[in-house]
Order: sequence, then structure tokens, then C-alpha cells
Amino acid sequence: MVSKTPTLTLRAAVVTEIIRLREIEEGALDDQSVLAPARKQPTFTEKVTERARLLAIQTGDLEAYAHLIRAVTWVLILVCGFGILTGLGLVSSAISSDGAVQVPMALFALVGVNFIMLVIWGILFAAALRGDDVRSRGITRIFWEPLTRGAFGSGRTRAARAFLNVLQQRRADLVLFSLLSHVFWSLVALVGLFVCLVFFAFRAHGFVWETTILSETTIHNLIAFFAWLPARFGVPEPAWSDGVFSATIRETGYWLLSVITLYAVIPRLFFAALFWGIFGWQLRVLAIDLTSPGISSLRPRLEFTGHSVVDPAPDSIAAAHGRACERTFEPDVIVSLDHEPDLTSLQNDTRYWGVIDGAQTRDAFLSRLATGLECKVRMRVDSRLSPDRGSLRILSQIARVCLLQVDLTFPLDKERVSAWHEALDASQITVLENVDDI
Amino acid sequence: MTYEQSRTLLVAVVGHTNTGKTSLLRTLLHDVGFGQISSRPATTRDVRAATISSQGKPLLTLFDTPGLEDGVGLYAWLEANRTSGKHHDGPERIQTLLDHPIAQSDYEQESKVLKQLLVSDAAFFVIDARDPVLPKFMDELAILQMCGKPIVPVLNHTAAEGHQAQVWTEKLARIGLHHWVAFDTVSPQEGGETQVYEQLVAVLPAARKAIKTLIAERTMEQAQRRAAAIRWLGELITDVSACQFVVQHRTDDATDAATFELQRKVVAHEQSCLRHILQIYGFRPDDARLSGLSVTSGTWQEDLFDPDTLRDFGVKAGKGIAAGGAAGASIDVMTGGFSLGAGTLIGAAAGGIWQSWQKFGQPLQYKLQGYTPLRVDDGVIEVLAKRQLALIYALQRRGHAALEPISHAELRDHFPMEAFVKLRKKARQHPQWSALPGSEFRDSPLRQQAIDAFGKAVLDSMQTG
Ligand SMILES: Nc1nc2c(ncn2[C@@H]2O[C@H](COP(=O)(O)OP(=O)(O)O)[C@@H](O)[C@H]2O)c(=O)[nH]1
Ligand SMILES: [Mg+2]
Repeated sequence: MVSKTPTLTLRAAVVTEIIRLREIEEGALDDQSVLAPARKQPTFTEKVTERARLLAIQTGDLEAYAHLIRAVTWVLILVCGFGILTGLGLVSSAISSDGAVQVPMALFALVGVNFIMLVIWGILFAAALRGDDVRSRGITRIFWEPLTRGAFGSGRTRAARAFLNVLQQRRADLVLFSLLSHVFWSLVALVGLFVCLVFFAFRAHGFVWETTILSETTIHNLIAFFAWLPARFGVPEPAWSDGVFSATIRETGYWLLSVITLYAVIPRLFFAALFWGIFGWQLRVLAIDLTSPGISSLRPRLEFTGHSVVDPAPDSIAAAHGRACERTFEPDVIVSLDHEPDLTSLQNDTRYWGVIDGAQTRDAFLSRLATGLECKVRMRVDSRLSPDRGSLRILSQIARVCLLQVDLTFPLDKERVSAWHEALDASQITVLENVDDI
Repeated sequence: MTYEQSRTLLVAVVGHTNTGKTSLLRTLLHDVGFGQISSRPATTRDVRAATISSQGKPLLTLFDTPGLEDGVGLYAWLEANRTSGKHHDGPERIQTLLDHPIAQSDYEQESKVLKQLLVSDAAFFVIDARDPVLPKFMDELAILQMCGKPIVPVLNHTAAEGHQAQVWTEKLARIGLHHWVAFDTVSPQEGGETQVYEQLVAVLPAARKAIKTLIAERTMEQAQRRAAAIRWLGELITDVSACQFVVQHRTDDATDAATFELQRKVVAHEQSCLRHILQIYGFRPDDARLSGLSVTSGTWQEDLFDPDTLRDFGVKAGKGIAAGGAAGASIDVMTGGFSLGAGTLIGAAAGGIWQSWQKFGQPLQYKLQGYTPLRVDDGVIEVLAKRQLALIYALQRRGHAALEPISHAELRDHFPMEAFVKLRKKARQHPQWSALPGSEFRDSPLRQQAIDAFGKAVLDSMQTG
């Protein structure tokens, strides 16, 4: 399931992909510190990208991304530079140093090559759209492979892979390749046009189309073909016979320039603009696949809106204190706290008083102690219950008026027993050390 | 009265100390990180709120509160401080307590709970069902009931032996609390969460709309989790099936080293998948409940490449890693031939040549030069798939008391073998489909289609199984 958010930038998408790859390869990153700000984002996609962005700052991946973008920019600049050089090379092959313009060569170099490349691009593009594996193998090899090969360290390699993955999502890589190709050939054609224009404007020149192996009729047909479109725009077909143009130099020059413009520059510029638009649209609809491995597992962590403390903890909690006494003495009275699961064994013991399980029994027992007849008390406490302040308060009240030892019965759960020991120690109440207890 | 979306339902989670209030919140929130849990009393000392939202709209806010610890003392105080004429007005009596200095000292923690309950719509009263029904617990309930809010008793620890849920429910009925729910927070029964919310609606009919949305949301999340986990499994099978290592020199040492390296990468990838699937289901890797599945600390206990493990899963033991890359050399004449033809024209089509080379030339070259391509054995991939699927089954069924391991026989019957073999074979043909580190990974719609087809087959077998 791909969800769309208008705000997803290429950067956010790539950085998220970098972090995703990193976490799949190296295990989950420690994201405790970034969870809170990430959870604040409204949608899941934004939570995911925010988490990735904050993590990328820590891992240095944000920097790797910046490097990547610089590298891509350089590749683009190189492509442009190469396009200009190619244009210069091609146009110079058509103009000899004595000022003679070889029209067939000019047509081939500035229009023909361009056209052949356009056809090849079209075939590859169609194949890529139809098939699956052909697509952009070429471009990825040529432009990105060195990046992904690990030549620049694992961080940057991952960044490059992430970049490719993101582009591949909607085949934006194919579009980017096409765009590059059209920009390249637009430049070639524009440079050709420009050089021709300057040359025609400022230098003495002449146009020749000497008979080659082509027959005269073929040449006539070729000229007619290239003249067809300019004629629509009012540029007449130049007359030609026996290797020379009988039209004026100016007429022939205009015609040649319009051929280059109409057959090479404009189609390429059109495609370049078209793919520029498509690429821009693809960037706008970039999305993160929320079911992909490494993203889907974030949902439980990020969907949670977080929690807030409504009523803060107090500095201290009122604790009751008893009075410690010697551990071993024979009690004159035995009581149970809360309940007595082992009543049968106690019933015949004359020292057994009963159970303190509420305010009434507590007060009854305290008033009995107040008579002063007994002052050595053993309190049976079921250690399976959790210690709590209420129990400790009752124990402390008793411990303050007599000698009290607590007998932790049913010591089955080690954790609970040690919790009781801790609590009783803190309240300075003596625990009877059971033999089977230790 | 109905709750509009702008009005969030407020529910306080209350109860005696250490009964599992914070644990209940974690379970209901599906957030293992909420609050602090310990077997010591008075771990939670503040009131903490967490909100469950649907599509960004808050539905329900749960409040974790400190444990009630001195119900006996507080009840006695309230009885002693009855003001004449108002003694039937519970909230008034609670307010008297809250205004008294004792609410800042001896009963500070209890007062926090009561203050929160007064402003909440209802409460979950968490009970440790292993405890007998003691008078002090009834005192606590009596105090809570004074707040005049509906209370849903939640019987926790019902998965423990010798629990007293029966006695509890009888005693609860005597004080008018009939809408209790048994819900062991650690291993809840199937649909337990829904039952908890249904009881909330029973005592608080106005919450129906919000709860209905919430339950629908949870059901959807469950389906999402399942889809995500199965997708991961599909990716894992694809990555491991597709991956192909080339041993540069045909010596035993080099082959061993490469085999070891490949095994290491496969195991690491499987671990990564395992951990992510656990995370998808909100488990921590060190969750004790996983031990029944032979997962400890987020790692499978049995070695994937051990013949015994293979036998355990009813898979014929192979060498673990198979040599012979010819399996990957399936020929797509149309694509290959085409790109070769077009590719000779310009450098930009070099990819086409490369691709054809990869398909026809490279296996041949490896043969001639004595290189050995290594691939992971079919049997190993089968075990890998089976045990990961067993995990998903178990996590999905979480709630049948504890996390029971799914039996191998059960898995044999429900394992979508056909779909698995199909995915494995497809992946074998595309070395670039492997996302294992070191592979030249290329994702593609075709790869995703193959994975989706497998996922669909798994879902189908889950539904019939
Ligand atoms: N086995 C088991 N243990 C539980 C369950 N609920 C809570 N616990 C444990 O009981 C202890 C207290 O839980 P806690 O949530 O902190 O209780 P609170 O004081 O009420 O918030 C912790 O050690 C929990 O792990 C349960 O349903 N089953
Ligand atoms: Mg707690």
C-alpha cells in the first residue's frame, strides 16, 4: 500500500530509504531519542521520514546524501559539457577550413545522428516499458554503478543504492535517463545550430553537395525531404544541380538553419521539456511504500501518540515507621494479616488471636495490646500478596506499641519475598528469619 | 448523549498496587515502551495519559495511575469524616477528602487516583486474580465506587494456575459489578481486547461510537501487521533464493571461505527479518514469551545450516550451499536478443549487452575459467521460509493462552508449497533480485509481483488453515 503525501521531498524519500537499508543490513538503530519528535508528525509517512531524518543526522547519512547530490550534479554538468563538445565535433566535421559547407555531411552530423539516436532511444524506451529487466540497465551501469560499487565507502554506496531504489519506484530512473539523453542531444543540436549561425553570419562560405555514390535523383529526393517541413514555414527549397546549389548563399543558409532547427533542435527540446515535466510530476507524487520491510515494523513504535504526565509523582511518599527489635523471641500472641490460609494448624494454638483485615479488627487488636498484658507479637503475613503501604502502616502501628516480628508465610515467590524484605526493612520492622525461607 | 469526535473518551486504569495496571496499558496501547513495569510495589507514582487515535483523531485516552495501597486506612478515614446530610453523595465525600490536608500527606497516592477518576468517564479496575478476595480490596472498590463512575473490573493473571477468578466474579456481583472481563495482559485470549472494550460499552453506552471505531481500527491494524510480516517473508525468500556468490579461485579454501561468508549473510538477513517481524507484532526480541518458539534474544536457537534443523522441518538434508549457477541461466530470448541488437548501436545500451552477457555468457565464462557460483540450497530456503512462517502463525494466533509453537505437521499441511517453489524459482532466475549485502540489488515491479503472489497464497492458506 502506497500512501501519498504532497510534502514528501526527494530528499526525505532517499534519506528514509538509506536508513531503511541500513537497518535491514545492520540491525535496528537506537531511536529512543528521536521517537518523541517523530511521533508528533501527523501522518505515518511523515513520522517515518522524520525518524529517518533525525537518525540520518546521527549516522552521517544526511551528509552522504549531500555528497550523492553533489555527485549527481557533477554527472549532469559532465553530460552537458560532453554534449557541447560533441556538438562542436559534429559541426566541425561538416565545415572545411576553406569555408565550404558540406551540406550532406552537415545534414548527417547535425540532423541524421540526432535522429538515429532518437529512434534508438524510442526503441529502448518502449522495450523498457514493455519488459522489465532491460530497463535502465544501461544508464545505471554507466552513471551510477561506480557509485554503488562501494568505491566511495559503504555509507555513500548505500546512499546511491537508496537513490536508485527511490527512483525505480515509479520508473523515474527511466524518465531521468530519457531526460538526460534529450538534454544531451538538445545541446548537441543547439551548439550545431549556433556554430552554423555564427559561421554563416560572419564568414565567407559556400555550400556544396558533390555527387558521391548517391545518384542525382537520390540527392534531389533527400533535399526535397528536408525541404518539406521548412517549406511549411515559408523557407523555400534551394535549387541544386551537379553538386552546387544554384540558390543564393543566403537562401541555402536559411534553409540549412531551418532544417537543423525543425528536424533536430525542436523535437529534442520538445522531448526534453516533456520528460522534464514527467520527472517533476514523479517527484511530486513520490511516496514511501509503508508495507516494505523495515518500514512496516515501525508502525507500532510510531503510531503511538505518546504519553504525558498528567499528575506528577510527589517528591516523597509518606511512609510509616515501626521500631526494630531482636529477631528471635517466642511470641505471646500470634495474628495474621489480611487472611489466614493455614487456619487449621493455628486453631489449637491458644496464642492465636485472629486476622487483622480491616480498620475494625486493627483497632480491636490495638486496644487489646493497650491492656499491656501481651507485648511480644508475631504477625503472619502471606508473602504471596504484594506489599503495600496499608499493610506496612498497620504493622508499624503495632510495632510502635510492642515487640513485633513478621513471619513471611508461603515464601514461594522469591521476588515477592524480597519485595517484602525490602519494604519491611525500610519501615524498620523486624522479619522473623524462617529456616526454610533462606 | 453521544461522544463527538472532538470529545475523547477518558478512562482511568486503577487498582491495587502490582496487579498489572501498567501492563494492561501497554497491551491496550500496543506499546511495549509505555511506563515502567516492575514486580515491586509503587512503581508508578504519577498519573500518565496515553491516547489511542484513529486517523489522527483521538478516540480514547487511558490514564495509568499509582496503585491503591491503603484502602483500609482511607476507607476508615472516609467513614470517620462523613458529613451529615451528604453521606449518600459519593463524589462529594471524595471531594471532602481531596480538600483535606491528608490528601497531600498520608493518602497522596490514593488521592491522585481519585482525582483522576472524578474527571474520567469510566475506570478499568485491574485485579490480580491470583489474590484471594480480601477485605482491603473491597474497601478500595467501595472508595472507587464513591466517585460515581462506571467501573469495569479486569481480571488479570487469569492464565496463572489456581487463579480465583470465580470467587472474584461472585464477590463483584455482590457489589453490583457485573461487567467484568477476564483479560490476562501478558497472554490475552483471542479477541480479548475487543471483550475489554465491549464491557466498557456495556457500562458506558455513550462510548459505543468511539469504541466501534477503535475496534475497527485494531482489526485493520491486525490485517496490516499480517500483510507486512508476510511481505517480509516473501522478500526474505526472494533475497536468499536469488543471491549468487562467485568464488574466484577453485580451491577448497576459497570455496569454504565464500561458503562461510554466504552463510553468514543469509543468517544475518534471516535475523533481520525475524527481528522486524517481532517488531511488527510489538514484541521485544528478548520477550520471554518467545522461548516456546525457540527464539531467544531475537535469534533462532537452531542453526539454519545444520542438517538436523533441516530434518526437523521434514526437509531433505543437502549441502546447505549449492554450487552451479546454471540454474540462473534461464533465457529470455526476446528481451536478451533485442537488447543485444539495439545495444550494439550505442554505448548507452551497454546494459543490454551486459544483460545478455549475464544470461548466456557468464555461466559459460565461469565454467571455462573454473569459477564456482555459490547459491543457497533449496532445502535451506525451505526451512528458512517454514520457520519464519511458523513464527508469523504463532504471533498471529497470540492469545490462545500462551505463545504455543506451531507443530511441524500443522505447518506441512498449511505451507503454501506451490507458491513458495514458484517464488524461489523466479528469484533464482534473477540474481539482481537479491537484496543481500554485496549483491547488485535491483528492485523491479516483476520482483514485487512475484512477492505479492506468494503473499496472497500465504494469506489463502492462512484462511483455510
Ligand atoms: N505472568 C503475568 N505477569 C503479569 C501480568 N500482568 C502484570 N504482570 C507482572 O506483574 C508485575 C506488576 O505489573 P505492573 O504493570 O507494574 O503493575 P502495576 O503496579 O499495577 O502497574 C510486573 O512484574 C508484570 O510483569 C500478567 O498478566 N501475567
Ligand atoms: Mg504501574
